[in-house]
Amino acid sequence: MIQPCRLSLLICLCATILAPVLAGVICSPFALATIQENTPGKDAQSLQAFRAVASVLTSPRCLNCHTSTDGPLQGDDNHPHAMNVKRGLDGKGSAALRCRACHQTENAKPHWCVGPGIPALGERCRRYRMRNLFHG
Amino acid sequence: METTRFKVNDKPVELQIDPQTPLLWVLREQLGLTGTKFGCGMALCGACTVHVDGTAVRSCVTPVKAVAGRQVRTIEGLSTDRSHPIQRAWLQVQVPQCGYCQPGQMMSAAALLSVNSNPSDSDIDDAMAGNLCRCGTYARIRKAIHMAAEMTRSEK
Repeated sequence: MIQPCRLSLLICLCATILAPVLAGVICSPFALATIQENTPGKDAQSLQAFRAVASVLTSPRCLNCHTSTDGPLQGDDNHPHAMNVKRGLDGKGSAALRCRACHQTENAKPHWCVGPGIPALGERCRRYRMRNLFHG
Repeated sequence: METTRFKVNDKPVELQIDPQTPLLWVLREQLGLTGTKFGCGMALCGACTVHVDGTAVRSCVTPVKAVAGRQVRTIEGLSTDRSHPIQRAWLQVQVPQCGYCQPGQMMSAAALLSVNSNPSDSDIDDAMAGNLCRCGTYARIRKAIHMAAEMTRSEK
């Protein structure tokens, strides 16, 4: 009988060997060419659609809260939030400096904890059916 | 004008008031609790910090309708006999200089200790960053919070 740890090791080994092989099949130049030939104009449409989505995704109104740092940013130049505000354990501020302590519940959803102006973005989000993405 | 009911320092309050009136105005003008200070009026300095259901908020930008049915605690209600660890530590370290920002500092510190009884220097800096002190008592504030945290832990 195979031990659980050995079974895990075996699965990892198989995955390591098979992944490049499968990736080569799926993403080979031949496969991509076939997709492009069979779907003329689709990639241009995709790019155009993504550009529309990207204008939302890259808005400072989004990026200032959904950062890769440990605190929110402010303004169109994405400068760090005044008062050295931190993300905290639950993403809604540190122990005595919760986002809602200043931002209240008036703007957009009560649990968003954002500054004024977000309802306009909410309209755009609805248009692109992206609302769930921004609920974080 | 609307009737707004809530509790301040465990006492029920009922007021006929414009629901958009800032909580700070109500505390100071209607209820006479002048321990909570007006600093900037824009949630930028922390002098007006009070607790709403145990969470620190800026009373200068909190409309009174937002606290309807909730418990508000001000510096006057932190304890009845100056026995809160934050109060004892503040006295022992002699934190204040002019003292104007200190009610807000103490309420933020109390909120921190209520969720973290062993805060690091970094935890304290993060939690207290929104409370400004023009006298620069930050080092004593940090020392007092460590002392209060130790008191809290030893008394548990």
